[in-house]
Amino acid sequence: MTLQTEIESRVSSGLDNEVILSVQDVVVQFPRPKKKTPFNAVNGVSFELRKGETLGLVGESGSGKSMTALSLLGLVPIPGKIIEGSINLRERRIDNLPINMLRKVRGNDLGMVFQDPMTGLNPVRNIGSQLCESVIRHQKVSKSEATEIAFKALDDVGIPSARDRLEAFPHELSGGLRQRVMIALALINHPEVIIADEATTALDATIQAQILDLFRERLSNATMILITHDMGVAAEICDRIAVMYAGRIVETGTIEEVLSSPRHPYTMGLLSAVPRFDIRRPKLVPIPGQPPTAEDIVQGCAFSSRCKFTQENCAERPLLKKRDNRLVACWFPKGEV
Amino acid sequence: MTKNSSSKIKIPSTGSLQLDLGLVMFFVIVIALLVQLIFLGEDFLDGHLRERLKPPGYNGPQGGYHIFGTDQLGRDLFFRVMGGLPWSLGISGVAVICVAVIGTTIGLIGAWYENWIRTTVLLGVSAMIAMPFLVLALVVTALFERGFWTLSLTMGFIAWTAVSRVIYAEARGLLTREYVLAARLFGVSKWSILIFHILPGLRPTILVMAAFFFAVLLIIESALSFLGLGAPLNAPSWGNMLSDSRQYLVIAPWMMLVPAVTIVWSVISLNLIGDGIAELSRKRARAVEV
Amino acid sequence: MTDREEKNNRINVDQDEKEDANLVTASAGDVETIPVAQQTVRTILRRLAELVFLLLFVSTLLFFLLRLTGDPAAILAGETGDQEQLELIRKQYGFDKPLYVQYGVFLMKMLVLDFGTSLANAQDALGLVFERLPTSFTLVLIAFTANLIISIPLGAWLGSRPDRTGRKLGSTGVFILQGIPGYITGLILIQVFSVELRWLPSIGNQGPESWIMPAITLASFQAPQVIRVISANVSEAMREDYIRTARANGAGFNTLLWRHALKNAMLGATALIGAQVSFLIGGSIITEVIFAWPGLGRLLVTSVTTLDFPVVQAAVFVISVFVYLSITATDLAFIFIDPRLRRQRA
Repeated sequence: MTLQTEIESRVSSGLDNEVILSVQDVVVQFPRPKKKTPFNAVNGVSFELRKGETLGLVGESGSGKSMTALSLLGLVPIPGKIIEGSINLRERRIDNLPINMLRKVRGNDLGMVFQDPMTGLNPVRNIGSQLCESVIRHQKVSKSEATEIAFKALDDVGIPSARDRLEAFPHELSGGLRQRVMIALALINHPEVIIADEATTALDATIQAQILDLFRERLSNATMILITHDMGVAAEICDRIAVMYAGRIVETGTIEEVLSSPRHPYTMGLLSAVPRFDIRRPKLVPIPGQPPTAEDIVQGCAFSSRCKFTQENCAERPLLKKRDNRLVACWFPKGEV
Repeated sequence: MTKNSSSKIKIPSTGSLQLDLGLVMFFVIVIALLVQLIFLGEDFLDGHLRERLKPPGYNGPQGGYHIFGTDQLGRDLFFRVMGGLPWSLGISGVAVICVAVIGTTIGLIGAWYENWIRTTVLLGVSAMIAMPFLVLALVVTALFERGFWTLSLTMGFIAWTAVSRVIYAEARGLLTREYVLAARLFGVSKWSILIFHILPGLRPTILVMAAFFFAVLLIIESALSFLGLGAPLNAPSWGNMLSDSRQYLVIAPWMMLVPAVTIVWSVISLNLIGDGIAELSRKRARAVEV
Repeated sequence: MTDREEKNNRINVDQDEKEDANLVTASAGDVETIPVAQQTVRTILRRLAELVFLLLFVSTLLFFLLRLTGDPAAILAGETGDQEQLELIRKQYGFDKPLYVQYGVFLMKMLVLDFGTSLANAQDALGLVFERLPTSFTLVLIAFTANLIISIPLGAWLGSRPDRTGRKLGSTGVFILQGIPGYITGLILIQVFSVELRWLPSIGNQGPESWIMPAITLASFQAPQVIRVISANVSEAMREDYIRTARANGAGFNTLLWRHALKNAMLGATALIGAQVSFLIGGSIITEVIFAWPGLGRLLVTSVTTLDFPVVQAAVFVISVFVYLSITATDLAFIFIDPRLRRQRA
């Protein structure tokens, strides 16, 4: 199956399914004691995730994509917190759960894979005990049953001689194996939604390809949010894509639509900054300037200072509007300028 | 508090509350030391036997007002604590300079050489570090005449091991940095590398260690005097005062409390300074990373 | 810099690069490790070498200092000794021979644990030391255990609560306690519990209740430091990525602290806890003097003040061996606790 047809088949199978996760206008705010105004790391993000679909959250570092993911699990680091919006898992609201209920959701309904497999596992406990801890917490099983589940989970993510590896400590495994363990840990309680936060970024290129293969084979039907700054990774795995900039989603749509004809100037910029072998381009075009940092409070469109299409309207913030099949937050999206 | 723009008077601050507090507390000690050196003569330490063991606040006919009371020989405890400043601070001050210099040198030597010199340094330091410091100091000071230099130099030449181990670890970390590697490849001599690249990087660590060791050595100096093996018997060292107080705990507890509070004050001020510097350098490192 | 040095440096850099390359290939699969037994033997041998080094250094130092700072015969004879007595002593102890011969004899005797007899009462020096050892050992053991039982949970509790009033108050209290030297703690304890309240005896070993104050005093020498280190390590560990992983899998506060953070924090405090023994022995000297405790520390102080050198040599020897046994025991314990030590990269 070629990549193109694979994507098409997945899209057609996914788009009409029931909504599993629905995020509405979430704002994550960090107080800044030295300044009067707080900083909104996530500034009104909304999206829906349907069963069996993979949504890519793409953007530069600092665009709020990781914070969005953490907010789903209620893991926004202190002193930040969700001050607005709602997060619903099926019909159940999960952003305002008391902590003991939230713990039952974490790892059980929502599984998360983190960026750095080197530091993400406890160095002084063996793999088995870390996996079993999570199994025993969420499933009513005995210790030996939990060990069996842990073995299956490791085997499932393609770890060779998985039974011996239960006894191994993180420092005895290579980076690629460790990331597989992290994935096994996220999948072990069969969560409804998997969130992968830059799951391949810290790995060598060859290992990265292996992990991506694993995602494609093992998780093609999973409901997943993939967070990455790498358009190439997103293109390989995602069905839909949401481009984030300065704490907001600026464009969403199916992967092939967004990649083939980006509407938002920022998406266009991102794509022309990616090296490609398949088409000839005179050179890579970087996006001029820097994204707004926590220090800048931007009125109007956050991208206006770097955008070549900026006009007077841009002093006012554009909302996400439906254009054709997708949502774009721009006054002058491509094709209408 | 100093950042509050509404307050008119600007209080100078180092950026670390602990360091500020420690410096203020230490400043009090330094002023007391200066006052003692400039204004007080030997005769202030003399006692009046008629005014023995008087409680704090005693107003005597001969010796005048005794704010901290008097000891078993009628000596004023306030002046005696002041008189102890050059002994206690001086001895541990000289010792801490020895500790810093020897510890840094040995640590750097161990970090630079990658042959038998390193092996020897590491073996020696880790052997010496295990020896109870007080035992060694006790035995060595007993052999010499009791006095300022015996005590300070003995302590200085024994206590450097812990410093050198820390400096060794830090310096090895610094030696693997790219800018040091680059300097090596460009043929910069080993002394310039050590002095201009490594030593500045070690400065916060050395300062922190010096502040903590100042406190530790102050405690050890008092401990040795307390055991009767430190400062000469009649010297107004704080350890001697504590040692004297033991026989009068029942009838004159202030004899113990006055030197005790002084020692605790000094140790806490030095610990605050050490913690403060450590905090500042951590903050600075974090600022660089971000 | 000469050409040769420059070349050496180049070679060093090349080697570093080679090592890096090895790391990369090793990371493709499992990492080679060395087995527990080998690691254990290695540790014991290293500590043994250090012990020999230390013993040689300390006894040599004492040997020469004693002979350089004065006439040992005069010290032995005391103030009343006349010329004839001095000659007799010199002959008897071999002080008339050249220094290197004396040193050789001294080392040979140390090998067979012969430290001579006490100058005070002609008893065997090593025997005297061994007589006092059990009391001191028990005191140190009690203080060490009490210290760990109190300090570790307290430190963990303080470290796990970021920026709360309770934590700040606790840390301030610990900080002040750290500023109070052990001998002052001892004197204050005596003042309060013996002089004022008359609850506990202040002097000597008179049954279980007389153990309380010395043990607290001795523990107070190091407890604040252990609490501070554990608390700092725990609060650092609680910010690690693996804590976030565990939280993302639904772990509660207790699991995070006791099963994930504390173990890592403890390992960071290894060196400190091992060094505890050495500090505690130093502290036990002062404690024993304050409480007139019939232990090794007081024997050492008495012998030092009376220049009873055979006993001093024997005591220093026994203390060094004792410290090294404790440190080696701690090392071995940690090999079995810390997987990274247990199976280090070969």
